[in-house]
Amino acid sequence: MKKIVELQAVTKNYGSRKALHNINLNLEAGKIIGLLGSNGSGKSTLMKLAAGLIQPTSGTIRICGEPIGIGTKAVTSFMPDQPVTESWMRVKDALRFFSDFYKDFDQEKAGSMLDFLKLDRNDRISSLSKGMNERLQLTLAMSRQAKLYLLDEPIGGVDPVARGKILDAIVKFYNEDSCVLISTHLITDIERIFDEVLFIQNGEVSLRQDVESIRSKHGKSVDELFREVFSE
Amino acid sequence: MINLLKYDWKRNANLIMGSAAALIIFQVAISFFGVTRNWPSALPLTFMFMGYCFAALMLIIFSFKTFSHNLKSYGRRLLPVASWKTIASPLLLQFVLSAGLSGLVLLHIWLFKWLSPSASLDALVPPTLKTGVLFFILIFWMVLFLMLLLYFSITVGNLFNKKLMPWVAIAVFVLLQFVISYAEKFLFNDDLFGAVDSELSSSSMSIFMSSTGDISVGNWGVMAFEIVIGAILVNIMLYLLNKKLDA
Repeated sequence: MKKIVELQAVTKNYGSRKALHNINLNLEAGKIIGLLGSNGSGKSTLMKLAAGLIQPTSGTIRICGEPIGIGTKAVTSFMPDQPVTESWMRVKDALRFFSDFYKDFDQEKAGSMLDFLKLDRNDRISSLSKGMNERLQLTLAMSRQAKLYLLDEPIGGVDPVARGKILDAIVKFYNEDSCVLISTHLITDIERIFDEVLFIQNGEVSLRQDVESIRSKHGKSVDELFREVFSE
Repeated sequence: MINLLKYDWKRNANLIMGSAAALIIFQVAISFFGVTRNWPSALPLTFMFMGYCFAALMLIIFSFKTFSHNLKSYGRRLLPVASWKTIASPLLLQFVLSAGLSGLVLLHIWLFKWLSPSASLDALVPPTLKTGVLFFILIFWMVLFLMLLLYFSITVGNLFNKKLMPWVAIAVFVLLQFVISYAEKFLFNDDLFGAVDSELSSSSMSIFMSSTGDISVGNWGVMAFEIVIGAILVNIMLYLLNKKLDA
């Protein structure tokens, strides 16, 4: 399978604090991967590095074989933990912004997602609730025909009904030539869509496994395994 | 590039349009009272220039705030655009707005002359076209170089945490100004800003204009030196944006 993400000996320090330590990781196309870990374990840092928002202290990162730069940003779609839109925008301005800068932005797909997630194009972004804003950020991220989707806590601030809707949207609008990496704390809600999970602990990958083999080998759900690993 | 410019404009459009409206109301009021109450012509002219200088200062502040915002904005840093456009876009917007402001000044001068035919505005008009062009180049470069120094200082400041950022940026800016000014004095026994200051303080704009008309070889040397420094600063900024600076 085609490698989408390659991390070699990646370390990221914030001052004296080590956020990630010597990470080696390859992610392939055709998978939805859960990135799981406790607060401060390095999940968001890993995503920001892959998206090119922050720079590694050492090591190399490649997306589709290219070092981080304009080329990788063009094929990476990131939904970070804060909005990528601006407060003056309406929903339709945000769609225009994305279509102005991303060649792979699919207006039709965005329109379907807006309808699916019950968002109005004329709504002001500043007036959207946290949950509605997350739906919009997800719409923007998933409406691109990207090779790599990075979703940082896509259901963190939404009610259980909306969670289901968002997860259905991810599965429905996911392109199988790409790789989706999702970080979350809400494992029970989301584990049904994962093909694989990565556990990250103190800035290091502590476990990587297929969800099916977790269920068959360990006889546990991902949530149960997570609680076991992280309770130590 | 034009798209970046468009979104920089849209983000700030309300503030800019509001400030422009306030400036126009202020200038109209000053001109109106100047004419109807028979103020000496120097008085409304002084207020007029104070208003426009304030507006120009606001444009500089607006420009570096836009640049600073773009450095930290996730929406901007995720875009697949070359880093030099992050520097060029707010600069270009500033120069477009400055051109608009200059047009407003010229229109105001023309209106002022029309309303007060007796007022002498000779000091504001360059004696020759060549003088006017040289004056324009000089001012354009001074503003551009100042903006590059500010942008560079903000970029370096952003390498540090939020608390340290403004202090580091101020320290870098002051240090750069000092070192560049010292180097210009040492190499050319002159500096671009120094030349302008002394001419301005020597009494009237007309003296300043005519003396910049035959700008000395030393000043062109200073400008060439500053162009080299500017190019170095831009390259360091690009390196920091691509390799070191976190959003």
